[in-house]
Amino acid sequence: MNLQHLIASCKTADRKAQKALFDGFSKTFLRLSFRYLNDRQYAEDACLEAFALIFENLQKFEYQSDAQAEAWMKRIVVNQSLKILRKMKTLLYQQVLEDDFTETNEIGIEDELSAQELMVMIAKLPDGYRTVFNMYVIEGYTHTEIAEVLNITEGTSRSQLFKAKAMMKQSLEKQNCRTGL
Amino acid sequence: MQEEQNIKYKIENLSESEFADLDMDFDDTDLWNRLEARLDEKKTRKPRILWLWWAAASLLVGVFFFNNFSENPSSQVLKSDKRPLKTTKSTPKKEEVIRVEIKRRYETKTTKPQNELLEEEVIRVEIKRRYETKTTKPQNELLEEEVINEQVLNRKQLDYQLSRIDFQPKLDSISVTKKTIVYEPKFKAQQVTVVDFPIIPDALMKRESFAKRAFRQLKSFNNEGKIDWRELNIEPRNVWAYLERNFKYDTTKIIPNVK
Repeated sequence: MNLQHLIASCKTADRKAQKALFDGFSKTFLRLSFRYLNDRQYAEDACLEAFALIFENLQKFEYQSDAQAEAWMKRIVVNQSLKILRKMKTLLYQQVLEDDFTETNEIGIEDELSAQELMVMIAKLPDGYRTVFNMYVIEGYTHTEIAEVLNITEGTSRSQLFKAKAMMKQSLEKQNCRTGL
Repeated sequence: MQEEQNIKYKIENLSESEFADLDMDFDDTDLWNRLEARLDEKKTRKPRILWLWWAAASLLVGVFFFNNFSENPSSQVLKSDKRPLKTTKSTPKKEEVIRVEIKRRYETKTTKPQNELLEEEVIRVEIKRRYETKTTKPQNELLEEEVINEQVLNRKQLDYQLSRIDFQPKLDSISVTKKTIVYEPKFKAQQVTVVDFPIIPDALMKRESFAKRAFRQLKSFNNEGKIDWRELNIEPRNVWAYLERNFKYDTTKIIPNVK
């Protein structure tokens, strides 16, 4: 059954269709949520809330394409993850002057790192950095959108991203020093 | 920008085995059970909410009907005396028009100062009375109350009206007119008498002397209550007396015989 039919069936509260939709996206969403929360239990809670919201709001949702439907659901998962992060009150943002990072936007970390190593590095980032990094780099939010969602300024969002990248680079350099590269 | 796209691509294309290596392999069976339980709960919650709304609405309707259509003995206006009152057309200069309002109030303890009790503004005449008709019906049904609004009475009519009044204090007979401020009664078996003296420009002196006489007589019957004599030459022109005793016959004495 394709996604369009699944969504149509879910609108009629068909439990089998709901289960199929859940099976199709649960792992992706759990990983997505885990990237933000860095905690399995919290990630599961966020996904539970997100799926409940998805099934509740499917009535209002108008299907256009698979990508659009998936992006809509992912947004709900991200929002729920951020909600839990806010509850934990671990989101701290550090303002950096714009001059500090406009010149050095590219820091060259991706050439040397594998996907797994990248994931580990992202997980090690502080919550504020990790959140902005995930939203901007992986989910493709703009700084304006991030600022709106996180209730921060665009400058703060940019500085968080810069700091996150810098921290990852620093970590990579330390790693290289240890391995003698 | 390119760097960011590459990072995104790498992360989005992680294989299942790589996720397992990263300890990001989730067992979603338990999560589905929790979600299913929650979805079932939501299903049952909807009808419950509807039922609650329905109950609240029916309760409101019930209260509305109870308040508006139930027979409240304190405000019930029973059949009025069928005997019509004769009203004569009279010019204010020739006949002194007197409005009388007699009300009853019964005691409950109140903290309001006595002066506040005197501040009721009543323009219309309201005579309420209770009496028992000589029938075989139960006592509650025998009580009748007559309300006569805006009656302008001359002396004869007033005498006639007052002669028919029988003051039998009943605890359930506290009634309220629209323009009456309601205070909790202070005195036992209290009666409020309001004598309204109309302003007739040519008869101000006569009015004042009458009022003085009226007060003297009212005072003689006043054992416990308070009399408020307002300035008679200006408005408001109501004279109030709170009397403990029934002064049905005595009231008639204070009515001036102006022709």
